[in-house]
Parts: sequence; structure tokens; C-alpha cells
Amino acid sequence: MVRFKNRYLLFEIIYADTPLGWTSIPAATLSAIEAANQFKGPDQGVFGDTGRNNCRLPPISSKDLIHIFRTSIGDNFGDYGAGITQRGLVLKYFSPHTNIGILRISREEMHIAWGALTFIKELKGRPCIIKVLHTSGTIKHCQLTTIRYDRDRIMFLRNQAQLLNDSQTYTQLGLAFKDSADEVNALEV
Amino acid sequence: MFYDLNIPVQTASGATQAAQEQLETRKRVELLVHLGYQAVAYNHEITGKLPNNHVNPITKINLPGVNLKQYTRLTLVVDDISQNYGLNTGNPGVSSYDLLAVQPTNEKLFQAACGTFEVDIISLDMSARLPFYLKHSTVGMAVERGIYFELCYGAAIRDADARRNLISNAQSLIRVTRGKNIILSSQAMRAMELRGPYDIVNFGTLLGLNQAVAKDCLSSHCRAVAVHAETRRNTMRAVISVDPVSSLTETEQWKLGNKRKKETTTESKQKKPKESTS
Repeated sequence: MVRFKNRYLLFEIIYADTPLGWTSIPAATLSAIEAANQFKGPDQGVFGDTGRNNCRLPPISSKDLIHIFRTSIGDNFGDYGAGITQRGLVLKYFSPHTNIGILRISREEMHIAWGALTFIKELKGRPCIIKVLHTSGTIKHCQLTTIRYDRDRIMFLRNQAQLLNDSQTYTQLGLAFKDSADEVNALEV
Repeated sequence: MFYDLNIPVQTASGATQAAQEQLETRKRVELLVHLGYQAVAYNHEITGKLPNNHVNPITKINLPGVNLKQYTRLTLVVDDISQNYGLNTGNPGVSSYDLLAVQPTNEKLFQAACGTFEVDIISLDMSARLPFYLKHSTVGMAVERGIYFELCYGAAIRDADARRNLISNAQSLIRVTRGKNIILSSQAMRAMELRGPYDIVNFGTLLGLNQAVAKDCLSSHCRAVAVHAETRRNTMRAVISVDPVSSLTETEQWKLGNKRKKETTTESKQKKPKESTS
């Protein structure tokens, strides 16, 4: 019996108002950014427009997202495409804070699922791009890439905080990185 | 290295419009950099004959610290076979652009474009039904001359009808070219119509290209277009090109030999033949 093979797609959602270069912001920095915004007004926060928190819309949930993916597969590949991907398609992880997630799909239907992601142009009325960052055959490497990706973003923010002499945010960001790494590691294989 | 050889820029009349257009272009270019592209061509489209006193309206964007090659590109929409479009390097309007593309709208002109026009890219409007069949003999001429065909995915992301047409037209193009000489580019009016390079590679595989070829359509084929343009513009009969000695970097100075080295400081217009592909 041959093992049933999967592909894991690590994807990133880029919104129109996402500041480029550091799209990913950990959950725990939310309070830090809000605190900073209270002092300086909404337009001059330490981090400027943070893309996800400043949009003042409810964050998108995993359930909505998988529903949108299925609809897109239905629109682009018809009932047949929706049928053959139905069983294998699982959203393993999605963080509305960092806007990245991991999607599992059976290996043969990877191109269909990926193509459907490419043709999504908005999520709940917000224009967006879904970019696949990494594909792998086991979830392990997706996890590693996610953590590395988060770290890059958080290091960027920490550098910013350091430049602004904001020691509170600096420590919080350190903790936030640990939190997000734990969250990703907790995913079952 | 990934290329996007079609970022349309509009020439706006008013000052505020022009500023807005500039901002929109900037947004698109910044997103391209974020997505991982390393070269971009700004496309200016003209329908009909090029005016005699035409000047290149495209201004390249200054992005300090960003590794991005920028090209300018002219797309001429041609529709009249009897018209002489003056598509040669002697024409100052044409030679002010880095890349030159034509978009033929009927079969006669498509044949002429494949067989005789001195261009780099043949662009067809893939978002509507093609008004003629693509024949292997015609397309073969263009492939032999090293001209590339362009597939633009921007319209397909915009609406579903265009997507259907694009897939159908792309399949017929891939069938007649056998996957050779195709480039994939965006033609994105807005930043949100762009997609990541690997997403487009995957889209290429859905169209029926081999995965490796699909990747080449965004990278090495586009580079071939840029080199083709370079040989068309800056070489003597595609055999020899001349660069001033001053363009040599410090590490290349040995090419001059010991004797000439001293003269370089005074004489900068010395000729140096450089081999190039034909």
C-alpha cells in the first residue's frame, strides 16, 4: 500500500493597504501599537499603518477562508475541481495577525488548489493578493519556514523599536516571537 | 531572476492626474519588488503610426537600495497593412525605448510581424477571442527569428470572461509554438492585479506548459527578449557593438594591455569591439 501523499502550501495574504517589507506582525504587539497610537494619534503610531490592526475590520477567520478557497475552486474549476479537491483540502493553520497560513492538499490536485488561490482577488470585499511562499511534502518544513518568516518580520520591528528607543515594545516583540513560534510548533504533523 | 515586461503607464494630461499616475506606478513597482521580481518594463501603448516628433514619456522611478532593472517599452497597435510604420532603429521615436512590441490586429499584419518586422515581442490581445487562427508556419518564422510572444495575465485576474479567453488562446499559442518563445507578463493596471512569480509559474502549468518551461517564461525567456532588444538597438548588423573605454570597470582594465593603460585617462572614446549574440 502506497502512502497517501500531500502537499503543504504556505501562503501569505497581501492586502492593498498592507505596508510592504514587514507585512507580518505578531498578536502581542497589538497592545503595544495601540498604546503608542493613543499618545500620538492614529496616523502617527510608532509603526505607522500596520495593515491588519488599523483596518478596523474584524479579522478574517479560518472558516471564512476555507470557504472562500472552496468557492474559488468551484468558480475556476467547476464542480469536478471542487469534487476532487474536497477531501484533501484542509487549512492547517492560519494566523489573522501575521496573515500567513498553511493549506494541505493532496499532491495530485496541488496545481488546482494553487491556481484557485492565484485567482482570488478579494477577501470579504478587501482587495488582496494571495502569494504562495513555500510548498513542501511534509508540514515540518512549512512550520520552519513560517517561523523563519515571522522572525524576519519581528526582527525588523524590533530594530524599528530600538531606533525609536521604545524598550517596552522591544521586549514585547521578543515575547511575541516566542509565542508565535510556539503556536506554529504546536501544529500536529 | 524574474522579469515583468509589461507594466502599462498612461500619460495623463493634468498635473494632478500625472501625480496620481506616478503614485499608482510606484505602488505597482514596490509590490513587484516585494513579490520578488528583479526587472520591470514600463509599457507605453500607441495605436496606429508613431508621430514624427514622438518623445518617450516614461520616467524611471528612483528606488534607492533596491536591486531592480528598469526598461521602457513601446507597444504599437498596428491595423493597416499598407501603412509603413517605420519600425527600425533609425527612427528616433522608436529607438528611445529599450524594448519594442507590436500588437497586430489582423492576420496579414500578424504574418508581417512574424516574418519581417524588426521587433522584440509580438503581443496579442488574449483577453478577447483572437480574430484569426495561429498557424504553425507563421509562428515558426517568428520563433526562428528569436521574437517572443506575450501572454498577459492581468485581464484574466480582472474578470472571468477574459480568463476563459486567455486560457483558450494560450492553449492554441502553446500548441503552435510547442512552448517555445513565450513570455508571461502582467499588464496590471492596478497593484492588486499582480501576482507572485511562482504563482504565475503554477498558472503556466495549468495552461499546459511544463513546469521548467513555465519558469523560463518569466525568467530566461524575458532575459532573451532584453538581449534581443540590445542587439537590435546597439549593434552593427548584430555582430559588433562599441563601448567607450571609460565604461570598463577597474577589474577589466587589463583588457587594454599595459601600453594603453596610461592613455585611458586622457582618451575615453577609444573603441573596443565586444562580441554579441546575433
